[in-house]
Amino acid sequence: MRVSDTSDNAREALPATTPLMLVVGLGLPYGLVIGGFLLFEHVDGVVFGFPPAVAWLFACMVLVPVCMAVAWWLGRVRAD
Amino acid sequence: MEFLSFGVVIAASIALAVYARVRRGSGNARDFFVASGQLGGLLVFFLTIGETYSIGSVLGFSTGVYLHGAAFAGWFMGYILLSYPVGFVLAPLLWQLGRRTGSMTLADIFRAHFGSRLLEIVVAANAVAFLLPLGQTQFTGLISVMRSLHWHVTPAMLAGAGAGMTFGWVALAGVRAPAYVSVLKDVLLVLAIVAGGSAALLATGLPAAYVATPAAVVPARQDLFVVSTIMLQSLGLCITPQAVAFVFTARSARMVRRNQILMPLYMLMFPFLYMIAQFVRKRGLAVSSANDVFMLGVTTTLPPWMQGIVAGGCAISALVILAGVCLAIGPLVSRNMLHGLSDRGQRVGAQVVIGVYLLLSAAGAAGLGSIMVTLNNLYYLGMIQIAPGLLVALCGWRVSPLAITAGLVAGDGLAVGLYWAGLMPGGVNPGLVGLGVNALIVAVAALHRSSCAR
Repeated sequence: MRVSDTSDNAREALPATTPLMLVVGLGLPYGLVIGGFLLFEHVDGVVFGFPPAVAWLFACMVLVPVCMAVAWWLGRVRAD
Repeated sequence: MEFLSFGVVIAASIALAVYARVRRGSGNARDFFVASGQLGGLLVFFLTIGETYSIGSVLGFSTGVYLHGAAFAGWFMGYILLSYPVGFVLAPLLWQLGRRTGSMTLADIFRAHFGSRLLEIVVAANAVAFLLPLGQTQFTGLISVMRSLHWHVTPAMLAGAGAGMTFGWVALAGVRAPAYVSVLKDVLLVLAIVAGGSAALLATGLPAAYVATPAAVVPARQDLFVVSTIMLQSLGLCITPQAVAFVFTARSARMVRRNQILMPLYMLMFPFLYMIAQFVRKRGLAVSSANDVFMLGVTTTLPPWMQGIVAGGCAISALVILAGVCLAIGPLVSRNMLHGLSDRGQRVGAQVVIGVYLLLSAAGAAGLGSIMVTLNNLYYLGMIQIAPGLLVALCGWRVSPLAITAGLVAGDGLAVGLYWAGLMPGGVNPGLVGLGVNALIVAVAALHRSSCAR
Protein backbone atom coordinates (compact mmCIF):
# COMPACT_ATOMS: atom_id res chain seq x y z
CA MET A 1 0.00 0.00 0.00
CA ARG A 2 1.52 3.29 -1.06
CA VAL A 3 0.02 6.45 0.37
CA SER A 4 1.34 9.75 -0.83
CA ASP A 5 2.58 12.17 1.78
CA THR A 6 2.48 15.20 -0.43
CA SER A 7 -0.48 15.09 -2.76
CA ASP A 8 -2.38 18.27 -2.12
CA ASN A 9 -2.86 21.59 -3.80
CA ALA A 10 -1.59 23.61 -0.85
CA ARG A 11 -1.26 26.80 -2.86
CA GLU A 12 -5.03 27.38 -3.12
CA ALA A 13 -6.49 29.72 -0.52
CA LEU A 14 -8.65 28.63 2.41
CA PRO A 15 -12.31 29.55 1.77
CA ALA A 16 -13.30 32.57 3.87
CA THR A 17 -14.86 32.11 7.33
CA THR A 18 -17.89 34.43 7.09
CA PRO A 19 -20.95 34.76 9.36
CA LEU A 20 -23.16 33.16 6.69
CA MET A 21 -20.70 30.32 6.30
CA LEU A 22 -20.79 29.80 10.10
CA VAL A 23 -24.59 29.69 10.14
CA VAL A 24 -24.76 27.14 7.32
CA GLY A 25 -21.69 25.09 8.19
CA LEU A 26 -22.00 25.06 11.99
CA GLY A 27 -25.37 26.39 13.18
CA LEU A 28 -27.51 24.40 10.77
CA PRO A 29 -25.88 21.03 11.60
CA TYR A 30 -26.43 21.70 15.33
CA GLY A 31 -30.06 22.56 14.66
CA LEU A 32 -30.60 19.48 12.50
CA VAL A 33 -28.90 16.99 14.81
CA ILE A 34 -30.09 18.22 18.21
CA GLY A 35 -33.47 19.62 17.13
CA GLY A 36 -34.29 16.56 15.04
CA PHE A 37 -33.26 14.13 17.75
CA LEU A 38 -35.37 15.87 20.41
CA LEU A 39 -38.33 15.94 18.03
CA PHE A 40 -38.14 12.35 16.86
CA GLU A 41 -37.36 10.69 20.19
CA HIS A 42 -40.99 11.26 21.18
CA VAL A 43 -42.32 9.70 17.97
CA ASP A 44 -43.57 6.10 17.95
CA GLY A 45 -42.80 3.67 15.17
CA VAL A 46 -39.90 2.38 13.17
CA VAL A 47 -37.98 3.65 10.12
CA PHE A 48 -36.08 0.97 8.16
CA GLY A 49 -35.95 -1.07 11.35
CA PHE A 50 -34.62 1.73 13.57
CA PRO A 51 -36.33 4.00 16.12
CA PRO A 52 -37.20 7.33 14.38
CA ALA A 53 -34.68 9.37 16.40
CA VAL A 54 -31.84 6.99 15.54
CA ALA A 55 -32.89 6.87 11.88
CA TRP A 56 -32.85 10.69 11.85
CA LEU A 57 -29.25 10.73 13.09
CA PHE A 58 -28.31 8.28 10.36
CA ALA A 59 -29.88 10.69 7.85
CA CYS A 60 -27.86 13.52 9.41
CA MET A 61 -24.69 11.67 8.44
CA VAL A 62 -25.55 12.75 4.88
CA LEU A 63 -27.24 16.09 5.68
CA VAL A 64 -24.33 17.45 7.76
CA PRO A 65 -21.72 17.04 4.97
CA VAL A 66 -24.18 18.74 2.60
CA CYS A 67 -24.35 21.72 5.00
CA MET A 68 -20.55 21.89 5.18
CA ALA A 69 -20.19 21.57 1.41
CA VAL A 70 -22.59 24.50 0.92
CA ALA A 71 -20.66 26.50 3.55
CA TRP A 72 -17.39 25.70 1.74
CA TRP A 73 -18.92 26.92 -1.52
CA LEU A 74 -20.19 30.11 0.18
CA GLY A 75 -16.70 30.71 1.58
CA ARG A 76 -15.14 30.24 -1.85
CA VAL A 77 -17.59 32.63 -3.47
CA ARG A 78 -16.66 35.22 -0.84
CA ALA A 79 -12.91 34.56 -1.25
CA ASP A 80 -13.17 34.97 -5.06
CA MET B 1 -7.62 -20.18 12.05
CA GLU B 2 -8.49 -16.95 13.84
CA PHE B 3 -5.00 -16.95 15.34
CA LEU B 4 -3.47 -16.99 11.84
CA SER B 5 -5.61 -14.14 10.46
CA PHE B 6 -5.00 -12.14 13.65
CA GLY B 7 -1.25 -12.65 13.20
CA VAL B 8 -1.40 -11.48 9.58
CA VAL B 9 -3.11 -8.24 10.66
CA ILE B 10 -0.53 -7.57 13.37
CA ALA B 11 2.35 -8.35 10.98
CA ALA B 12 0.86 -5.97 8.38
CA SER B 13 0.64 -3.19 10.97
CA ILE B 14 4.32 -3.68 11.88
CA ALA B 15 5.27 -3.61 8.19
CA LEU B 16 3.38 -0.31 7.81
CA ALA B 17 5.17 1.19 10.80
CA VAL B 18 8.51 0.20 9.23
CA TYR B 19 7.40 1.75 5.94
CA ALA B 20 6.45 4.91 7.84
CA ARG B 21 10.04 5.10 9.09
CA VAL B 22 11.31 4.88 5.52
CA ARG B 23 9.05 7.81 4.63
CA ARG B 24 10.12 9.97 7.58
CA GLY B 25 11.70 13.36 7.03
CA SER B 26 14.55 15.08 8.81
CA GLY B 27 14.32 13.13 12.07
CA ASN B 28 14.11 16.19 14.32
CA ALA B 29 11.48 16.79 17.03
CA ARG B 30 9.08 18.55 14.64
CA ASP B 31 9.18 15.61 12.27
CA PHE B 32 8.77 13.12 15.14
CA PHE B 33 5.74 14.85 16.73
CA VAL B 34 3.93 16.48 13.76
CA ALA B 35 5.60 15.00 10.64
CA SER B 36 7.01 18.47 9.82
CA GLY B 37 3.48 19.49 8.79
CA GLN B 38 3.93 17.60 5.53
CA LEU B 39 1.31 14.82 5.56
CA GLY B 40 -1.06 14.58 2.60
CA GLY B 41 -4.87 14.72 2.72
CA LEU B 42 -5.49 10.96 2.91
CA LEU B 43 -3.16 10.33 5.85
CA VAL B 44 -4.44 13.38 7.76
CA PHE B 45 -7.99 12.18 7.12
CA PHE B 46 -7.37 8.74 8.60
CA LEU B 47 -5.29 10.10 11.45
CA THR B 48 -7.93 12.68 12.41
CA ILE B 49 -10.93 10.42 12.06
CA GLY B 50 -9.31 7.62 14.07
CA GLU B 51 -11.50 8.20 17.08
CA THR B 52 -14.72 7.62 15.10
CA TYR B 53 -13.88 3.94 14.88
CA SER B 54 -11.65 3.59 17.91
CA ILE B 55 -11.94 0.52 20.07
CA GLY B 56 -13.73 2.76 22.58
CA SER B 57 -16.44 3.74 20.12
CA VAL B 58 -16.84 0.27 18.60
CA LEU B 59 -17.13 -1.50 21.97
CA GLY B 60 -18.67 1.47 23.80
CA PHE B 61 -21.40 2.15 21.24
CA SER B 62 -22.49 -1.49 21.08
CA THR B 63 -22.50 -1.71 24.87
CA GLY B 64 -24.44 1.54 25.26
CA VAL B 65 -27.11 0.56 22.73
CA TYR B 66 -27.38 -2.87 24.34
CA LEU B 67 -27.85 -1.36 27.81
CA HIS B 68 -29.68 1.91 27.13
CA GLY B 69 -31.11 1.82 23.59
CA ALA B 70 -31.90 4.89 21.46
CA ALA B 71 -31.06 7.58 24.06
CA PHE B 72 -27.47 6.38 24.21
CA ALA B 73 -27.24 6.17 20.42
CA GLY B 74 -28.46 9.77 20.21
CA TRP B 75 -25.81 11.11 22.55
CA PHE B 76 -22.98 9.05 21.10
CA MET B 77 -23.64 9.63 17.40
CA GLY B 78 -24.72 13.22 18.04
CA TYR B 79 -21.46 14.37 19.57
CA ILE B 80 -19.23 12.63 17.04
CA LEU B 81 -21.34 13.90 14.15
CA LEU B 82 -21.29 17.50 15.41
CA SER B 83 -17.56 17.46 16.08
CA TYR B 84 -17.03 17.58 12.30
CA PRO B 85 -18.73 20.97 11.72
CA VAL B 86 -16.84 22.28 14.77
CA GLY B 87 -13.61 21.02 13.25
CA PHE B 88 -14.66 22.44 9.88
CA VAL B 89 -14.54 25.91 11.46
CA LEU B 90 -11.86 25.53 14.14
CA ALA B 91 -9.27 23.13 12.70
CA PRO B 92 -8.05 25.32 9.79
CA LEU B 93 -7.83 28.33 12.12
CA LEU B 94 -5.80 26.21 14.56
CA TRP B 95 -3.55 25.13 11.69
CA GLN B 96 -2.96 28.75 10.66
CA LEU B 97 -2.24 29.84 14.24
CA GLY B 98 0.07 26.86 14.76
CA ARG B 99 1.99 27.58 11.55
CA ARG B 100 2.28 31.29 12.43
CA THR B 101 3.61 30.58 15.93
CA GLY B 102 5.68 27.48 15.08
CA SER B 103 3.63 25.40 17.54
CA MET B 104 3.91 21.65 17.89
CA THR B 105 1.61 21.16 20.89
CA LEU B 106 -1.56 22.67 22.31
CA ALA B 107 0.43 24.30 25.12
CA ASP B 108 2.80 25.90 22.56
CA ILE B 109 -0.16 27.96 21.29
CA PHE B 110 -0.80 29.33 24.78
CA ARG B 111 2.87 30.14 25.34
CA ALA B 112 3.11 31.91 21.98
CA HIS B 113 -0.08 33.95 22.32
CA PHE B 114 -0.12 34.79 26.03
CA GLY B 115 3.64 34.77 26.69
CA SER B 116 3.16 33.07 30.07
CA ARG B 117 5.19 30.10 31.35
CA LEU B 118 2.68 29.52 34.15
CA LEU B 119 -0.23 29.24 31.70
CA GLU B 120 1.80 26.96 29.42
CA ILE B 121 2.51 24.60 32.33
CA VAL B 122 -1.09 24.68 33.59
CA VAL B 123 -2.44 23.89 30.11
CA ALA B 124 0.08 21.07 29.66
CA ALA B 125 -0.62 19.65 33.13
CA ASN B 126 -4.39 19.82 32.56
CA ALA B 127 -4.05 17.98 29.25
CA VAL B 128 -1.76 15.29 30.66
CA ALA B 129 -3.93 14.74 33.76
CA PHE B 130 -7.11 14.22 31.77
CA LEU B 131 -5.38 12.14 29.09
CA LEU B 132 -4.12 9.65 31.69
CA PRO B 133 -7.27 7.47 31.80
CA LEU B 134 -7.35 7.22 28.00
CA GLY B 135 -4.36 4.88 27.84
CA GLN B 136 -5.91 2.51 30.34
CA THR B 137 -9.18 2.63 28.39
CA GLN B 138 -7.42 1.39 25.25
CA PHE B 139 -5.79 -1.49 27.12
CA THR B 140 -9.11 -2.41 28.77
CA GLY B 141 -10.68 -2.58 25.30
CA LEU B 142 -7.81 -4.67 23.98
CA ILE B 143 -8.12 -7.16 26.85
CA SER B 144 -11.88 -7.31 26.39
CA VAL B 145 -11.55 -8.15 22.68
CA MET B 146 -8.92 -10.82 23.25
CA ARG B 147 -10.91 -12.41 26.08
CA SER B 148 -13.79 -13.04 23.70
CA LEU B 149 -11.55 -15.24 21.51
CA HIS B 150 -10.84 -17.49 24.55
CA TRP B 151 -7.09 -17.63 24.01
CA HIS B 152 -5.06 -18.61 27.05
CA VAL B 153 -3.30 -15.30 27.50
CA THR B 154 -3.37 -13.35 30.76
CA PRO B 155 -4.44 -9.67 30.78
CA ALA B 156 -0.95 -8.71 32.00
CA MET B 157 0.68 -10.42 29.00
CA LEU B 158 -1.75 -8.79 26.58
CA ALA B 159 -1.30 -5.33 28.04
CA GLY B 160 2.48 -5.80 28.10
CA ALA B 161 2.58 -6.91 24.46
CA GLY B 162 0.33 -3.98 23.47
CA ALA B 163 2.52 -1.51 25.33
CA GLY B 164 5.67 -2.92 23.72
CA MET B 165 4.20 -2.76 20.24
CA THR B 166 2.94 0.80 20.67
CA PHE B 167 6.30 1.94 21.98
CA GLY B 168 7.99 0.23 19.02
CA TRP B 169 5.75 2.02 16.50
CA VAL B 170 6.29 5.40 18.11
CA ALA B 171 10.06 4.95 18.45
CA LEU B 172 10.30 3.83 14.83
CA ALA B 173 8.52 6.66 13.09
CA GLY B 174 6.87 9.08 15.53
CA VAL B 175 3.46 10.32 14.39
CA ARG B 176 3.91 8.84 10.92
CA ALA B 177 3.51 5.33 12.39
CA PRO B 178 -0.08 5.78 13.66
CA ALA B 179 -0.86 7.76 10.48
CA TYR B 180 0.06 4.87 8.17
CA VAL B 181 -1.27 2.12 10.44
CA SER B 182 -4.58 3.95 10.88
CA VAL B 183 -5.33 3.39 7.16
CA LEU B 184 -5.12 -0.38 7.68
CA LYS B 185 -7.00 -0.16 10.97
CA ASP B 186 -9.92 1.76 9.48
CA VAL B 187 -10.23 -0.46 6.41
CA LEU B 188 -10.33 -3.54 8.67
CA LEU B 189 -12.76 -2.09 11.17
CA VAL B 190 -15.17 -0.85 8.52
CA LEU B 191 -15.12 -4.30 6.85
CA ALA B 192 -15.58 -5.98 10.24
CA ILE B 193 -18.50 -3.78 11.24
CA VAL B 194 -20.29 -4.18 7.90
CA ALA B 195 -19.75 -7.96 7.91
CA GLY B 196 -20.82 -8.36 11.54
CA GLY B 197 -23.84 -6.07 11.17
CA SER B 198 -25.02 -7.75 7.96
CA ALA B 199 -24.61 -11.21 9.46
CA ALA B 200 -26.49 -10.09 12.58
CA LEU B 201 -29.36 -8.72 10.50
CA LEU B 202 -29.61 -11.90 8.41
CA ALA B 203 -29.42 -14.09 11.51
CA THR B 204 -32.21 -12.13 13.18
CA GLY B 205 -34.42 -12.81 10.19
CA LEU B 206 -35.49 -10.37 7.51
CA PRO B 207 -37.83 -8.58 7.13
CA ALA B 208 -39.19 -8.69 10.69
CA ALA B 209 -35.82 -8.04 12.29
CA TYR B 210 -36.99 -5.20 14.44
CA VAL B 211 -40.44 -4.63 15.77
CA ALA B 212 -41.76 -1.13 16.27
CA THR B 213 -42.05 -0.22 19.92
CA PRO B 214 -43.71 2.87 21.41
CA ALA B 215 -41.32 5.77 22.06
CA ALA B 216 -40.14 5.88 25.65
CA VAL B 217 -41.26 8.80 27.81
CA VAL B 218 -38.13 10.95 28.15
CA PRO B 219 -38.04 13.46 31.03
CA ALA B 220 -36.93 17.01 30.13
CA ARG B 221 -34.03 16.69 32.57
CA GLN B 222 -32.62 13.75 30.61
CA ASP B 223 -33.01 15.67 27.36
CA LEU B 224 -31.07 18.58 28.85
CA PHE B 225 -28.29 16.26 29.95
CA VAL B 226 -28.05 14.65 26.50
CA VAL B 227 -28.02 18.02 24.71
CA SER B 228 -25.47 19.59 27.07
CA THR B 229 -23.23 16.52 26.80
CA ILE B 230 -23.43 16.57 22.99
CA MET B 231 -22.45 20.25 22.98
CA LEU B 232 -19.62 19.69 25.44
CA GLN B 233 -18.11 16.69 23.70
CA SER B 234 -18.54 17.87 20.11
CA LEU B 235 -16.34 20.84 20.95
CA GLY B 236 -14.05 18.85 23.25
CA LEU B 237 -13.25 16.25 20.59
CA CYS B 238 -11.74 18.95 18.35
CA ILE B 239 -9.45 20.53 20.94
CA THR B 240 -7.86 17.52 22.59
CA PRO B 241 -4.03 17.68 22.48
CA GLN B 242 -3.83 14.77 20.05
CA ALA B 243 -6.48 16.28 17.72
CA VAL B 244 -4.55 19.57 17.67
CA ALA B 245 -1.27 17.75 16.96
CA PHE B 246 -2.93 15.84 14.10
CA VAL B 247 -4.09 19.17 12.59
CA PHE B 248 -0.47 20.37 12.73
CA THR B 249 0.67 17.38 10.65
CA ALA B 250 -1.30 18.65 7.63
CA ARG B 251 0.28 20.45 4.72
CA SER B 252 -2.44 23.11 4.37
CA ALA B 253 -5.40 24.64 6.19
CA ARG B 254 -7.50 24.15 3.08
CA MET B 255 -6.88 20.40 3.17
CA VAL B 256 -7.85 20.28 6.85
CA ARG B 257 -11.19 22.00 6.19
CA ARG B 258 -11.96 19.95 3.07
CA ASN B 259 -11.35 16.69 4.95
CA GLN B 260 -13.91 17.66 7.59
CA ILE B 261 -16.69 17.78 4.96
CA LEU B 262 -16.31 14.09 4.14
CA MET B 263 -15.93 12.81 7.69
CA PRO B 264 -19.62 12.41 8.65
CA LEU B 265 -20.10 10.09 5.65
CA TYR B 266 -17.57 7.84 7.29
CA MET B 267 -20.05 7.29 10.13
CA LEU B 268 -22.40 5.37 7.87
CA MET B 269 -21.15 2.15 9.47
CA PHE B 270 -22.92 2.99 12.73
CA PRO B 271 -26.22 1.39 11.58
CA PHE B 272 -24.33 -1.91 11.36
CA LEU B 273 -22.93 -1.46 14.87
CA TYR B 274 -26.47 -0.77 16.05
CA MET B 275 -27.67 -3.99 14.41
CA ILE B 276 -24.97 -6.02 16.17
CA ALA B 277 -26.02 -4.66 19.58
CA GLN B 278 -29.70 -5.28 18.83
CA PHE B 279 -28.91 -8.80 17.66
CA VAL B 280 -27.17 -9.64 20.95
CA ARG B 281 -30.05 -8.16 22.94
CA LYS B 282 -32.90 -9.74 21.00
CA ARG B 283 -31.21 -13.15 20.87
CA GLY B 284 -30.75 -12.99 24.65
CA LEU B 285 -27.07 -14.00 24.34
CA ALA B 286 -25.26 -14.31 27.68
CA VAL B 287 -23.00 -11.26 28.05
CA SER B 288 -20.33 -11.89 30.67
CA SER B 289 -19.12 -8.27 30.75
CA ALA B 290 -20.74 -5.11 29.37
CA ASN B 291 -17.78 -4.40 27.06
CA ASP B 292 -18.18 -7.82 25.38
CA VAL B 293 -21.35 -7.03 23.37
CA PHE B 294 -19.62 -6.24 20.07
CA MET B 295 -17.27 -9.23 20.11
CA LEU B 296 -20.09 -11.55 21.24
CA GLY B 297 -22.06 -10.46 18.18
CA VAL B 298 -19.01 -11.02 15.98
CA THR B 299 -18.06 -14.43 17.38
CA THR B 300 -21.67 -15.63 17.11
CA THR B 301 -22.17 -14.58 13.50
CA LEU B 302 -18.81 -14.64 11.69
CA PRO B 303 -16.48 -17.56 10.75
CA PRO B 304 -13.24 -18.04 12.77
CA TRP B 305 -10.91 -16.47 10.16
CA MET B 306 -13.08 -13.33 10.12
CA GLN B 307 -13.09 -13.25 13.93
CA GLY B 308 -9.29 -13.10 13.84
CA ILE B 309 -9.37 -10.18 11.41
CA VAL B 310 -11.94 -8.32 13.51
CA ALA B 311 -9.89 -8.90 16.66
CA GLY B 312 -6.74 -7.77 14.84
CA GLY B 313 -8.52 -4.64 13.59
CA CYS B 314 -9.77 -3.88 17.11
CA ALA B 315 -6.31 -4.49 18.60
CA ILE B 316 -4.48 -2.15 16.24
CA SER B 317 -7.31 0.35 16.64
CA ALA B 318 -6.59 0.47 20.37
CA LEU B 319 -2.87 0.79 19.76
CA VAL B 320 -3.21 3.50 17.10
CA ILE B 321 -5.28 5.66 19.46
CA LEU B 322 -2.81 4.88 22.22
CA ALA B 323 0.12 5.94 20.02
CA GLY B 324 -1.65 9.23 19.27
CA VAL B 325 -2.19 9.87 22.98
CA CYS B 326 1.44 8.98 23.72
CA LEU B 327 2.66 11.39 21.05
CA ALA B 328 0.50 14.12 22.60
CA ILE B 329 1.61 13.49 26.19
CA GLY B 330 5.33 13.08 25.41
CA PRO B 331 6.02 16.60 24.09
CA LEU B 332 3.60 18.20 26.59
CA VAL B 333 5.98 16.97 29.29
CA SER B 334 9.37 17.11 27.55
CA ARG B 335 8.75 20.37 25.68
CA ASN B 336 6.23 22.35 27.72
CA MET B 337 6.60 21.22 31.32
CA LEU B 338 10.37 20.60 31.26
CA HIS B 339 11.45 23.76 29.54
CA GLY B 340 14.74 24.31 27.74
CA LEU B 341 15.58 20.79 26.51
CA SER B 342 17.46 20.52 23.22
CA ASP B 343 15.73 19.15 20.11
CA ARG B 344 17.19 15.71 20.78
CA GLY B 345 16.40 16.06 24.49
CA GLN B 346 12.75 16.68 23.68
CA ARG B 347 12.55 13.54 21.55
CA VAL B 348 14.38 11.32 24.04
CA GLY B 349 12.51 12.86 26.99
CA ALA B 350 9.19 12.25 25.23
CA GLN B 351 10.10 8.61 24.63
CA VAL B 352 10.91 8.14 28.33
CA VAL B 353 7.57 9.74 29.28
CA ILE B 354 5.76 7.56 26.73
CA GLY B 355 7.44 4.42 28.10
CA VAL B 356 6.42 5.23 31.67
CA TYR B 357 2.88 6.17 30.58
CA LEU B 358 2.46 2.90 28.67
CA LEU B 359 3.69 0.84 31.61
CA LEU B 360 1.37 2.57 34.09
CA SER B 361 -1.63 2.31 31.74
CA ALA B 362 -0.97 -1.36 31.01
CA ALA B 363 -0.57 -2.15 34.70
CA GLY B 364 -3.80 -0.30 35.51
CA ALA B 365 -5.77 -2.12 32.83
CA ALA B 366 -4.40 -5.54 33.71
CA GLY B 367 -5.69 -5.10 37.24
CA LEU B 368 -8.99 -3.45 36.52
CA GLY B 369 -12.06 -3.96 34.37
CA SER B 370 -14.39 -1.03 33.86
CA ILE B 371 -16.98 0.32 31.49
CA MET B 372 -15.31 2.76 29.16
CA VAL B 373 -18.13 5.28 29.14
CA THR B 374 -17.35 6.43 32.69
CA LEU B 375 -13.73 7.28 31.89
CA ASN B 376 -14.79 8.89 28.63
CA ASN B 377 -17.02 11.34 30.53
CA LEU B 378 -14.29 12.44 32.95
CA TYR B 379 -11.89 12.93 30.04
CA TYR B 380 -14.09 15.54 28.36
CA LEU B 381 -14.86 17.40 31.60
CA GLY B 382 -11.25 18.54 31.79
CA MET B 383 -10.41 18.81 28.09
CA ILE B 384 -13.20 21.28 27.41
CA GLN B 385 -11.80 23.78 29.94
CA ILE B 386 -9.06 24.67 27.45
CA ALA B 387 -11.71 26.10 25.09
CA PRO B 388 -12.06 29.72 26.35
CA GLY B 389 -8.29 30.37 26.28
CA LEU B 390 -7.97 28.72 22.89
CA LEU B 391 -10.81 30.81 21.48
CA VAL B 392 -9.11 33.98 22.80
CA ALA B 393 -5.87 32.95 21.06
CA LEU B 394 -7.64 32.05 17.80
CA CYS B 395 -9.41 35.41 17.71
CA GLY B 396 -6.17 37.25 18.56
CA TRP B 397 -7.73 38.94 21.58
CA ARG B 398 -5.61 40.26 24.43
CA VAL B 399 -6.63 38.83 27.81
CA SER B 400 -4.48 38.50 30.93
CA PRO B 401 -2.89 35.00 31.10
CA LEU B 402 -3.67 34.98 34.82
CA ALA B 403 -7.39 35.22 34.02
CA ILE B 404 -7.12 32.33 31.53
CA THR B 405 -5.28 30.27 34.18
CA ALA B 406 -7.85 31.15 36.86
CA GLY B 407 -10.73 30.25 34.52
CA LEU B 408 -9.14 26.93 33.61
CA VAL B 409 -8.47 25.91 37.21
CA ALA B 410 -11.94 27.04 38.38
CA GLY B 411 -13.63 25.21 35.49
CA ASP B 412 -11.72 22.01 36.21
CA GLY B 413 -12.42 22.17 39.93
CA LEU B 414 -16.12 22.83 39.51
CA ALA B 415 -16.68 20.23 36.78
CA VAL B 416 -14.82 17.42 38.52
CA GLY B 417 -16.27 18.38 41.93
CA LEU B 418 -19.84 18.28 40.63
CA TYR B 419 -19.16 15.01 38.82
CA TRP B 420 -17.79 13.26 41.90
CA ALA B 421 -20.59 14.65 44.07
CA GLY B 422 -23.11 13.34 41.53
CA LEU B 423 -24.66 16.80 41.08
CA MET B 424 -26.10 18.08 37.81
CA PRO B 425 -27.62 21.55 38.22
CA GLY B 426 -30.84 21.54 36.17
CA GLY B 427 -29.73 18.34 34.45
CA VAL B 428 -26.82 20.12 32.71
CA ASN B 429 -23.56 18.20 32.26
CA PRO B 430 -21.06 19.27 35.00
CA GLY B 431 -18.41 19.93 32.36
CA LEU B 432 -20.60 22.55 30.72
CA VAL B 433 -21.29 24.19 34.12
CA GLY B 434 -17.52 24.37 34.69
CA LEU B 435 -17.03 25.74 31.19
CA GLY B 436 -19.66 28.43 31.87
CA VAL B 437 -17.84 29.64 34.98
CA ASN B 438 -14.49 29.43 33.18
CA ALA B 439 -15.80 31.49 30.23
CA LEU B 440 -17.36 34.02 32.63
CA ILE B 441 -14.01 34.63 34.37
CA VAL B 442 -12.28 35.09 31.00
CA ALA B 443 -15.05 37.40 29.72
CA VAL B 444 -14.95 39.60 32.85
CA ALA B 445 -11.15 39.90 32.54
CA ALA B 446 -11.45 40.79 28.84
CA LEU B 447 -14.10 43.46 29.54
CA HIS B 448 -12.05 44.87 32.42
CA ARG B 449 -8.97 45.08 30.21
CA SER B 450 -10.83 46.81 27.36
CA SER B 451 -12.42 49.34 29.77
CA CYS B 452 -8.95 50.08 31.26
CA ALA B 453 -7.51 50.53 27.75
CA ARG B 454 -10.11 53.21 27.04
